[in-house]
Parts: sequence; structure tokens; C-alpha cells
Amino acid sequence: MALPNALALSPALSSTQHVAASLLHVDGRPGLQLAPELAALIPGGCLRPGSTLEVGPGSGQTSLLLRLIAEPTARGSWAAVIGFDDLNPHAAREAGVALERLALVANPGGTWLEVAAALLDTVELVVLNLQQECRPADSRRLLARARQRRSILILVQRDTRRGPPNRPPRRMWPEQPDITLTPSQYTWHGLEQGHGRLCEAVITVNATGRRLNGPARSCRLRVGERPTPHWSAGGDP
Amino acid sequence: MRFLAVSFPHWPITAAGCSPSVSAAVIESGRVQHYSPAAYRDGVRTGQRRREAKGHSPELITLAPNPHLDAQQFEPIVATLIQVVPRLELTKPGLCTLAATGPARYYGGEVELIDELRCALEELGAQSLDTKHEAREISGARIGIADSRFGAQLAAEHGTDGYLVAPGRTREFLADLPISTLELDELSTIAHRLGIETLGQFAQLPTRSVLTRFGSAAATAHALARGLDPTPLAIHQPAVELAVSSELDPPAQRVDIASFAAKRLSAELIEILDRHGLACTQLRIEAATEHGEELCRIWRASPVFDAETIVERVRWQLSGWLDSTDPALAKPTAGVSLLRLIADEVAGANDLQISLWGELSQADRRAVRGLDRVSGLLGPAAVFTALISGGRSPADRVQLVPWGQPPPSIEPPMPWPGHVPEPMPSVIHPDPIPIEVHGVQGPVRVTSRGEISGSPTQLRQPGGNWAPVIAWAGPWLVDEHWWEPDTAQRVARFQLTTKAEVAEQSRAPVDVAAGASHAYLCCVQQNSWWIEATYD
Repeated sequence: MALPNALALSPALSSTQHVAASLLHVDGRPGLQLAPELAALIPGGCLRPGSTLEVGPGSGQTSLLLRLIAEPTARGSWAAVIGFDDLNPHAAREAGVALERLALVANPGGTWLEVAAALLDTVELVVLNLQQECRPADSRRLLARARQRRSILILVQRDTRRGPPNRPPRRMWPEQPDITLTPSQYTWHGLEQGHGRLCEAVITVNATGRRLNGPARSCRLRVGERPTPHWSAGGDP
Repeated sequence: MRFLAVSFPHWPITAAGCSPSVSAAVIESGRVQHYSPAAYRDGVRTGQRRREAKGHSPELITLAPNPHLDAQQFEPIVATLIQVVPRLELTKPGLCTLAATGPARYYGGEVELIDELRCALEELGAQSLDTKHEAREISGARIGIADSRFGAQLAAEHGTDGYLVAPGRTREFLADLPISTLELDELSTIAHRLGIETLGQFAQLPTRSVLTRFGSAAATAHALARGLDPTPLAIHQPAVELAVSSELDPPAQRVDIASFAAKRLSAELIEILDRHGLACTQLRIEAATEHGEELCRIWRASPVFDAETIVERVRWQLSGWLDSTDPALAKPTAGVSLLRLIADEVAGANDLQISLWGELSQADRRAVRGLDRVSGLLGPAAVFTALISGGRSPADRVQLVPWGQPPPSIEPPMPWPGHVPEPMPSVIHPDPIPIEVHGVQGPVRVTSRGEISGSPTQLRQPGGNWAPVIAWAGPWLVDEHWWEPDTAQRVARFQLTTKAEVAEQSRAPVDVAAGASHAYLCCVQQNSWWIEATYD
């Protein structure tokens, strides 16, 4: 199945040529379509094969991540999630992820690099939650692998603030991703003082990064369903 | 070419030890899959719901599917038949076929060949007369001969016992059978709408039109309906030896360990075949123990083998051997130390598409191969897929299935009264986080009647600062498994949303309108609180 496309030649290309080639979508494969709200954040509205994304820390991060991989898996792509031992697949399904194409590698331990490399070879979307700091040489190898195999690497920078407050969390990934999505504001509706239930969350997502081709953008992501009047009984006339 | 089929209809029922006169059915995912003759007489059919089947036959014994047992019970029969005809091809437990031309000439005719097989089976039955159900099981064998494997199988199952379809008349024999015997549901539905009810009507359609309208799977089915054996036409003997083998060190004593090794081997074999643009239609599996005992079986697939079905066949073959309960059958004295997979018969991969309906895409096959590799790297319990099942707590509602293992049959999720309402929390903490929850008058307590001592106003995680509670709801009492003292649990659940933690030093006024809020699903049991899951 080895198509004679630009990939086969890529080791011979210089790095500038390589970047140019990847910008031109040489193999003609379109990117992975995103949910409409998120598509508005990213130029072209889809995840470009071979690119890296980062999901920044903050409340609502997991919901954002799930929404990010939902549309591609529903359209037939596979996703592998590495290093999450606490992800709830049920929430993933509610977000629209096709569970039959979602593989979970909860605790790769010391072999995370081999696992990530093997999965980047074959799976279109690889979500990596780094448990330890990644050496620059390793990160460059992974990036090269992703570019060569036209797969997408999504890095999750989790909130690791356990020390003194107001210190930025330690960065596990030494490279700059193409695009960073960060949940900035996270509000729940439907729960009141002693009654109601969590119904709907609104997450404000900010996008930054060098591949944005413009100023930072933001959008609002809704999770769950709008509270019915019955539940929001707090609003008396 | 002439083919012979030995079929045990309702094998899963007989393997489970039920007599044909007992009304029994194998039920998977709430639907009838196999039934005994007695159940058939009562009106039980494939695809019926459990309750409907029970309605037809109130005495119905329901069985869970057990492919392991099916294979294990079938092995003595295969061992007996193979002494009569060496090149026996297994399709699944309960069905085997063979090319009959050679053996028939050897035994002096097709009728004689059938007699020979029947004698061997009767001898086996006599040997194990003390175990009653086996004697019956063997008498349930049906044998048929026709021009194609499919024809022979149907001749065995639908004709009178020992049924011979005359050479060249297989198509005529098949003509009256319903189209559903092809076991392609979508094709049957469409054909039914087109007014095509029998195989004879289907066979009359022009071959090219069937291929263009329905695709390759239906074209294969069309060949079957015309009484042809579709694979031999495309078969060629492999020029290179398409075989992979692996030494197991330490030797595998159990089936699951051996089949895990088989997983890697099968991926290797498929990769070699892919490289040559071939697909395997007949596979030989050889296993040997340290003490030199060997077991070799030939398996056929319809239409082709993929990595998963190869592993399944290895599992079937070995479970009949390693876990054999039959004293007459030589049980190996040591663990399996060598496993060898040989592609016996191959065809061009493009001639035999995996299947038209629900086929694997290129991306699927690539991903499956990669995940097989990772699970080989990390061990069997490292890669998971998830299924949704029933339960109250968020953790109960998810079932993780190790990669490569057949998913357990889960009853479709019913409404579960008392479950945590949707949306689901996106993070379930594997180790619950103990917390303190305070109201205006100190710690919040919940009485056994579900009353709380005060409204929660602030929450503290271990090592953290107090975070003000914005809103809360609860307690939702859960009293589960009270009939089993070991697993009984009585907890109360709360949903809580909080502001970000307030740093001790900067007692800034809390701005309720802005900033991140956290939402938790908390549990309280005997006045200790913990966070079970987070709505992240």
C-alpha cells in the first residue's frame, strides 16, 4: 500500500522543504473534520495530518479533549489515548466519541515513548498525557514520526499544581505545538443550593499558536443539555 | 471436485450436555442464537428475544454461549475422524468438511466413505457409552456429499442423513432452499424486497449484475448458490513457504497464554501475506509440547482469515487439547512449546475482499495492527476498549475490555433507577480523594435517614486550601448489594461545584461571576467524604 507520495521521500528533504511540503497537503489527504464549534478556532476548520496540538491545563480540559477527538472518531478515524488512568469512556461517548474506535493505554509506564511511536505509526489520532518530562531528542523523534506517518499528536498538559500556588505548571513537552487550546472559563448550570443537578457546562476555549495565522481566537463549548425550567427552580418570578 | 461435510446441527446445545429432546437455547445479547430440535418444535427461532422464546416454550433452558466448551467437546470427534480421512478441514466446532474425491476412491466409493466415517463415530460413541450425552451427541452427526463445501454442508443439514447429491446436480438441490441460508442478513433483506426468496432464484441472476450491484461478498454468495466452490478457482499453491513459528519459553500450560503468543504470530503471518498481496483461505495450525506430542489441524475460513480469526482458531484447537476432559484422548503431558501457523491455501487479496457489509477499512486494519503490537509490547492487560454497561455509579457503567479479547455479551443498558444523572463526569478517580466538607457549623454530616446537618459551604482537598462551595445537591442515597455482606455499600452522593481554592495569604474577596469553577461528584459514608469523580 506504499503510495509513491512525498512521505517516501521525506528523509531526503531538507527541513524547510519539509515544512513547505506539509503545508501544501502534498498527499491530498484532507484533514480530520472537527466539531463545528472547534472548527471555527482553527484555520481550515480541521486537524492537519502531521500536526501537533496541545490541550492546556484548566477545568474543563477533559471535556475539551473529548470533544476534540469526537468528530474524527465518529467519521471513521481511530484514536488512542495514552497515559490516562482516570478517563471515563462513558463521558467520551456522550461527547460523541465512537468507543469502538477508541483505544486506551492507561499506564504505559517506562515504555511510553515506544508505545507513542508505535501508535503514531498506525493510528490517526494519538493523545498523550505525559507523566514525566520528555527529553528534547525524544520529542523531536516523535514529531518527525507524526509528520512522516501523517498522524496527529495531541498533548495534554495537565494541571500539576501541587506546590506553591500561582506558579505556572511544569511543562512536560519541550517543543512548541502548532496550536494550543486552553479552557479559560468553566461554568456549570442547573445546580442550585440544595437542589437541581449538573445539567450544562459552558467552557470558553482559547486558541493560540504559531499555526493560527492570526490573532488568538476563542469559542464557547457546551457540554450536556440545557437545564429545563423544572430544574432551575431557583428563578422565582 | 466432490466435497463431504460432517455436521452436528445444534452443536452448542449438545456440547453443553443437553439432550435433543430437551427444549434448550443458546442466548447471546438477549437473542436466540442456537436452539435444540425440541425448542424448534415449540416455535423457538434464531433471533427471537429471550422472553418471546420463553413464551413459545415455557420449559426452555437458556444457556450462555461458550465457544471454549464447544471446541473442547468437539476435539475427540475430530481426532476420530482424522484417523479415517487425514485432510479434514475444520470450519467451526460442529462442522468440518473435506475434499472427498481421493478418500472416496480409497474406500471404494462415496457410500463406503460415509459408512467408514459413521463406523468410526459409532465406535467412539460405544467407547464413551458410560457418559451418556456423548453417545447421543455422536449419533447426531449428519453427513452429506455434494459438488461444493456449501452444498455438502446443506446436504448434511437439510437432506436425509448420509445424503448424496449426484454430481452436477448441486445447484438443483440448493434451488429450493431459502436465501437466508447464505447468512448474509442485508443481502437477504434486499433480495426479499426484490422478490427473490430462494437460492435458485438468486442463482438465476446474471453474475456480473450481482457483482456490480451488491459487491464481492454477494458475488461469492452467488457462486455458492450456483453450486460452485468459489475459492478453488482463485487458489494457487504458495511459491514461498508462508509460515511463521514461535518457540514458547517458558512453555504455555494454559490456553490463554498460548493464544496470547498466537496473537503476535498471527499478526506476523498477516503481514507476510499482505506483502505478497495474498489472503489466507485455509490455515494449518501446528502445536508441539516439550515432550514431543504434536497436534496439527487444518482450518478453513469463509471467506478469509484475519488476525483475529486466526487467534480464535488457535484458542479453539488448544482448548480441545490442553483442557481435554476425555480420558480416551491423549492429553499432552507438558506445556505447548512450539506454535506454527502455515498458510495452506492462499488467494489474491483483491479476489477476496474481507466482506462487503461492515467491512474493515484500510484505516481500521492499520490501527488494529498497531494496537496488536502495543499490546504485545505491554502485555495482555494494558490496552483496552470500553463498553457501556448498566450500573449506578459512573465506574459501574463502564466496562473495559482488554484488547483482542472477544467483548463480553452485555445486555443492552436498561434504565437504571437511581443512577447518577447525565452528563457523566469525565474523570473517575481510580483512588478516591478524601476531602473535608464544612458548613457554617463545622463538618457536614449525613444521618442514616438521609438528612444533612447543614448546607455545605466550603470544601478542602488534602494539602489544599478551603474552596467555597457555589452550589450543591444531594444527598442521593444508594443502598446497594445489601443482600451480600461483602459487597454491600450504603453511601450518599452529592454534586458540588466550587470556586478555585482561596490562597491563605491573599484573602481576596471571592468574585462569584468570574474564574474557574470545579464540579465534583462526592460520596459520603459514615461521615467521611471523598471525591468519586470530577466533571472536568
